[in-house]
Amino acid sequence: MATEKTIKILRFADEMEPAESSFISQLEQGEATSRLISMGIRPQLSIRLIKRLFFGKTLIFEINESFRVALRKDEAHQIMIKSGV
Amino acid sequence: MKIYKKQVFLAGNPNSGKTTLFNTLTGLRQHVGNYPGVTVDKKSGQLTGHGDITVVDLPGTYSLYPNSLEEKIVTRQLLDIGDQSAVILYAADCSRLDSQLLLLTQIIDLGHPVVLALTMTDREDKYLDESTLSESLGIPVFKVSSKSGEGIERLKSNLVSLVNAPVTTNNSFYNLSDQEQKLAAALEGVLPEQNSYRRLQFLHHGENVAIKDQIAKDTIDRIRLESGFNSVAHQIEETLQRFNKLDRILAALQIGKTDTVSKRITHRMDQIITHPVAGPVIFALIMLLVFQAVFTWATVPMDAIESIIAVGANSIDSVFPESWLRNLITRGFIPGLAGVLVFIPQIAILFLLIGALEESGYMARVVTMFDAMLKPLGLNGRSVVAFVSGGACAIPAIMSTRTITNQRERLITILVTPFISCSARIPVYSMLVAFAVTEGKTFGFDNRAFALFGLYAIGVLMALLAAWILKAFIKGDERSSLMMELPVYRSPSMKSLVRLAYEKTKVFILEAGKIILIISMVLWFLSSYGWNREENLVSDPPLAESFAGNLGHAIEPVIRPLGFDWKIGIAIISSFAAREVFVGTMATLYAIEDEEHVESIKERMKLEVFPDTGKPVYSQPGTWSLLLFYAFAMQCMSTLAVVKRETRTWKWPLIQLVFMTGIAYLAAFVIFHLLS
Repeated sequence: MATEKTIKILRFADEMEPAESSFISQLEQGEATSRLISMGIRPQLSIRLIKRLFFGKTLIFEINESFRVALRKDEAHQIMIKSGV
Repeated sequence: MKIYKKQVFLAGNPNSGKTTLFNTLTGLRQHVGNYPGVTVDKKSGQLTGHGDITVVDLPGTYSLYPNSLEEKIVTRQLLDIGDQSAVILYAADCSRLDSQLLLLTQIIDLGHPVVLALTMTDREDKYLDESTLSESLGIPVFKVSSKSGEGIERLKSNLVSLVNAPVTTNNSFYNLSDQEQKLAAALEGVLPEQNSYRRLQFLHHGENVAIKDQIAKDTIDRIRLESGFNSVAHQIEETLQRFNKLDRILAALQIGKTDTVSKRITHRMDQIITHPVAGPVIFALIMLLVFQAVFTWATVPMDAIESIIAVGANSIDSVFPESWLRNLITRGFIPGLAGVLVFIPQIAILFLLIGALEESGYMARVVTMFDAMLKPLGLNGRSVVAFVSGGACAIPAIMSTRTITNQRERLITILVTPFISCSARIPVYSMLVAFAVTEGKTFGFDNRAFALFGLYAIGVLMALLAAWILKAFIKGDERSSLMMELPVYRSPSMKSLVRLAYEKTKVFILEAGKIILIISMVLWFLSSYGWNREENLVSDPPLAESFAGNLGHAIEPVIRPLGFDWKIGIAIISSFAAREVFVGTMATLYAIEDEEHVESIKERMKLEVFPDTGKPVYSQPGTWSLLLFYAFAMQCMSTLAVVKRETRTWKWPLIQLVFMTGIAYLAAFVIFHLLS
């Protein structure tokens, strides 16, 4: 019974709702990862979805309440976020 | 370019205020290589007041691990500098220190002498202690404002003393892991003069950095292979460790979150500017305004230049006696020169406005908006930057594609960009549009401006269509990316814009001007002399019997279906050197045929008829056919040369030449017969 509560659903940044805020928990290892981290998109920082463009194919995020970036859906899918549960 | 011993390399992230700082430090003394381009070329200039020190502006990049061609240049450059008289000046936006110092710590670990300049201090209202930051980083730190000039002199005197007596910090930021230390140690034998972090860099970049020593090269390759070196994993590990260290340093400074006015304004503006419907509409309106401005603002200076040249030609004619030299000057050289000079105002205004769009931060939004739309066509959001710059000149536009990481998207962008109407077409368009469209206004916009906008629009549509077709033939499986930072909007500095427009116009005039002048004089010869009168070369035969007439007549059967006569044939042939030659050619051709060239060329062209049918040559169908031909045909040798250089093969420029000119012929044929 206890285990059920601790299971957290994996969520990625591309699944966020507009205006939703969370924190980055981890980055999946992929082609874009090194670049994402270099831009300052890294674990522990806050992330907020500002806007979805083109049916969610392009996403604008605010990182660390400091700067904004536009990412493609598959790029955002490399960013794991802490689920609100 | 002259090679100086004392160098300052200016590095930093994109949007770090680097280029503005560069302009402030170097003033007007800049060299932009052979062709214009914002930060694509190796741009360098002399430090003002210190002619012996050269400042090199490196392209903006986030880290030593490159994604694009442009970023590779930076990594290579930073690893290549072994000469200790080189100093790195690192620029960082002081409101963005949380993410803009990564590359700085890497450069420190490479062992370079570094100075940090904190830019945009006028935007930041929080107190920031530069001495504490300087102490914890182990390097000199200066707050500077390019706007007010605050801190610039202090920065400069520090740079000068550092260049003359380089000091490096003993601080190191990254602690190599045990495995990395072992690998770096294994390279000690072949790279004895490098530190451990540098050796690690050689492992990361392998063939991407120039290593002259073959044994070193082989050793690096062998160690990479034997250890199964996973570059990406090591990059991530290193980057996170660096940021953790930086976070601790910055926490001690207690800077806190920044919520400046300009940021709030930016966010409010972006709600409209990146709106799915309003965004593209605003973009189209801005483009329309740009072309309206090009047309209206340029009129007065253009008329002035035109009349000055006319006065000059007339006075030479009246002062000097008739001779072949006088004719060469007043009928060959001066009309050719006029064809170049008259369009300086339009070209300069276009470069100025496009520069303003880029510097304000608007282009980043445009890239973001159109990325998802362009991806299915085999293009990238960044292709828009090339397309918009292509509105000025295809050469810098093609060079700007170096920021596109996917090679296939980059190649397709390069191939279709010349469909975008460049400023060299403006002379042709503005001359011909007068025949195709009547004067007047529609919705408050000049009719001719509308026609011009239409020609630009059709160029863009053809570029997109061609991209979609080329996508089927060009294969490639590299991953493509957007990952675009949206910087805070800022009003571009008029001073740096004027400088940019001046530089670009100068290069454009010099590059195109040379070709146009030579061709004008060759044309004057070809149209003044013919082989029927070998015995008396001085007297001109009628134009139709001259060398040029023969050439034009020879290709007339091919172009007659498009509604063109043999004179247009001559113009098309000469335009293969550069499009704007068309106007000069027309001027030369008609100036030669007429005894008195006081009559303006346009008036003269209006009277031109086909001798067999008696119909006007510059009728609506004929003019539109010619306009479309010039819109689509590949008629620029300089562009082909740049495409060859960027693709490293003649294959692509040749393909481009054939398909573009083929499409042009077809389009001209169809429109001529539809309208007739």
